[in-house]
Amino acid sequence: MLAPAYQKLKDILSVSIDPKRILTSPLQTLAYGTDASFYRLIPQIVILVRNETEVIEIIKQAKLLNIALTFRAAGTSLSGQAITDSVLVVATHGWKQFELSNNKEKVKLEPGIIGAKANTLLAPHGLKIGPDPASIGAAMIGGIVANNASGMCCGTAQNSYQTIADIRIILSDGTILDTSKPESVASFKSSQPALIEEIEALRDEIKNDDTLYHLIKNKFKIKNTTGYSINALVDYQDPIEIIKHLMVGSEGTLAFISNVTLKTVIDEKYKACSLIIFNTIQDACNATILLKSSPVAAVELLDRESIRSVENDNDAPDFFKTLPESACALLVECRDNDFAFLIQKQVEIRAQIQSIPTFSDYEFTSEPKQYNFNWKARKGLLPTVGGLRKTGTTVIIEDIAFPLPQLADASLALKDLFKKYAYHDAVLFGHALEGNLHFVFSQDFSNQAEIDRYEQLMSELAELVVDRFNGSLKAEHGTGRNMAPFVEKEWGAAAYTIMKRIKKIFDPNNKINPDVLINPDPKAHLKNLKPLPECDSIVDKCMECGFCEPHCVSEGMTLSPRQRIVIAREISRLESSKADPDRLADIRKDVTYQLDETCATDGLCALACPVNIDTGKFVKKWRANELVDGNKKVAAYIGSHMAGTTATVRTSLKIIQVFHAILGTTILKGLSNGFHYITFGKVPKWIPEMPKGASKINTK
Amino acid sequence: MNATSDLKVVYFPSCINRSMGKNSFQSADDLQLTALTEQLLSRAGFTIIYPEALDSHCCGMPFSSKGFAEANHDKSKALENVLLKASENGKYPILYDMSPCFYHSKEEFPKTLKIVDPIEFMLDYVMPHLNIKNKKDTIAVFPVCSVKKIGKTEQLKALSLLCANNVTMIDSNCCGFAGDRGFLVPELNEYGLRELKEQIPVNCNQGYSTSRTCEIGFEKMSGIDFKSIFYLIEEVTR
Repeated sequence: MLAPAYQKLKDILSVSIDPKRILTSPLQTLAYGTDASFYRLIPQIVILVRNETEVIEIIKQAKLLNIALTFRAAGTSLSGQAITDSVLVVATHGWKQFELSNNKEKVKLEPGIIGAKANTLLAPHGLKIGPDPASIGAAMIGGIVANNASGMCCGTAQNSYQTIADIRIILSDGTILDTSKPESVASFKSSQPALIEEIEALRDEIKNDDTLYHLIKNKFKIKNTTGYSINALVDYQDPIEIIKHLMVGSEGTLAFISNVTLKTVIDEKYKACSLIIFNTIQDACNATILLKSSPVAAVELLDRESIRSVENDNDAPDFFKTLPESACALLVECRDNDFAFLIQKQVEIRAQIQSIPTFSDYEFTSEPKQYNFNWKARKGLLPTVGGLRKTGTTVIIEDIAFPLPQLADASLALKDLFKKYAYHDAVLFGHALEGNLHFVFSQDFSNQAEIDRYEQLMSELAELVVDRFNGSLKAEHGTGRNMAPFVEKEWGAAAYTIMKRIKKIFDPNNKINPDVLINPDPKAHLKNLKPLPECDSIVDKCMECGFCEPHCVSEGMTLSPRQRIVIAREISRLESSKADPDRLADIRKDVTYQLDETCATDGLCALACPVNIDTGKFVKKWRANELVDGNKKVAAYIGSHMAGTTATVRTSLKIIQVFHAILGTTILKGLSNGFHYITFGKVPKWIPEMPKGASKINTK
Repeated sequence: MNATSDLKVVYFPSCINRSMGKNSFQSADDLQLTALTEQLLSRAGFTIIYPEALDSHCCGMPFSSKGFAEANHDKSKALENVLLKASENGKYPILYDMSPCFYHSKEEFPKTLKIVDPIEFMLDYVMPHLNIKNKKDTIAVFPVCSVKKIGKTEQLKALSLLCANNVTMIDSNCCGFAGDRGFLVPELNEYGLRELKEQIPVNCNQGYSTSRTCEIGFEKMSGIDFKSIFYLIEEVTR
């Protein structure tokens, strides 16, 4: 089935890597190949790597066979940077080492650690990591750093770029650079003189080009993840520092990240927030400019449509429903380790914006119910749009940033743009303090007219953001495949050439995550769109964000909830289109064990799901559909003879207990294992911990 | 709670606890859970009412889990009816001795019945009537999935801390035992609890939860005595 080169790669790697972790079945490659973006490529091979030795072997062998590699951790990124139709190398399990430095100023993290887990480990010390993407409960360090991901509070001051202390990377020729180890740096410098020279040349060229130098300085004053972090070339002199910072936001296109050391930041104990309503978006944006120089931790903007989407919440104030159409809200947060200072900060914030009228009076609150509602209002926006969308459509989150003085005009221009292209469900919100706005809308990709509408929106958006307001097209989600065609538009020819040269320095053969970030195809953002066919009402709202994955017991063994849904959708698609019966049969072959039998149906996935999907319920329904009438009769019989059933179990367990005493553990285990296998897993396996039979309760 | 009132409780022992008995660490002298619960409730001053034809009832979850939606519905409805009767139409609280069964009934039943999960019942109904006499030193406690889903992890911790000085709350997803799945697909439980041992302190040899089947998997994967938290409460208040 595999193309000869891929088969050869698989054969060679199977010698040194456990073949169980080299996946090529259609079910597994699809399941593991899926990320949170709205793009779909299915890898030929997925390799679940466990250590550096394996990664180096893969890099070396793939290079000999001229095969492209894509590195990935959680697969929660949104712009199509973690998918491939070649070889996907997944570094999650086995990449969870965590090491806090003695003085607690730095933490060394492997790429498979979930961001929130890092924070849980740091919390006892009153610390956290700087980057705070909304996906932090599922996103892993590898991707957080490789995307320079950020969120509500970290701004441009505490993102990965600013807080990175060291990095350990494997280059496309297998060379390791560990910037935390002087001997590694020394040997890297002596073995890679050409690379170092080229980095220095780039740095010096920019320094000698005033226009370019200032362009770069200016563009990184606001959040920007379009293209590479070329601010590294103006912020640092030392080539090793430059390389370290270029890796941040490189989206896996330059090297494999083995570990990163981040500077820890203080996690303030006391928090308060206020949802302040302004009469107009202009007032809200003007307030934001003033708030920039006040002690705020976060300022989030919610437009009128955003407020409307939460007005029916039980905790929402009544006046939400009667706000004027022009209204706009700012969620303002302040934090401190000292409660008295927290109150002082609130006074300062109030004084700072007193010149701007508000629609109503406002108070800061730390009271959990109201505090949580305010944030729920903000965080619930994506799921609200996601939950209301039509089946078969996807949810798109755009991620742009403007210089603060332009924020008000840009917001209004954006709203006109939604109207022009009839995106009526679009809501606008975002990290106003950083000029970073998101707008979320549903999008159909199942017909050409809709794809054309999206194309028009995107090209006009690029003009609006770049030409009119001098902003960034991707503020914190990464360029991926989605914005790759627009990198040159945003940066201009000179800076784009620098970026292409960076790619060439680290990946001369274009085999490390090709087509991501740098892509010559002007329509790359419209290709390989992911189908989201109707499947089952329980799972149709799934956005494939992956937030469920850390909460699933079978994740990494067979499938995660997201992967179960991906497979179920593919089966639905293949069944209704009848396009590829062989593929359908191949997927169905493994599906019972992978999707059904290894799901514990515990429903913890629903707690993490933004749209509350309980994949366990879906699997139960799946089981019901797979049942033949004979089984149902047995169930009905057992159900109506429950007393007999419990009695049988009681007696059987007692008999087993007797046999155990006579035969001993090993023999009974052996016998039972035999039965377990010859009856296709239907007879319970005996284990030494099987309970003794209970005695009947005397209820008299 | 009014101590002078006539304390009555409907006790619905789950079908699991009616059929599966003691674990391999327990001796002949130890009571099985249903008997221990009886003793504990009566020490706390409760009169126990058992639902009629107890042995023929079940919350329906074992059927629901396997996709038998109709059988689930029939069992659940029948249980609802006997519980209504036993509780005199909701007058008395109804104690479930397993969290998953409680969660399942909570999803299925109308709100009129006052069904109470094992954690809340112990914390709010039983503990106020008992004195802690010999607190344990170190224990491990696992909040099973249904405890997380009803948001009672903190209450479980509070209850455990009443009974022991050091409580390790085990951090894990579903243990993978999942009813009888641990017998049918044992590798799921082995995978789910592959990092369990490193979480259990060396001086800890007793673990507690609120689901018998999960406890089988925990016993298997930790090698320590894992049983219902009712045993803990009974022991420290005796």
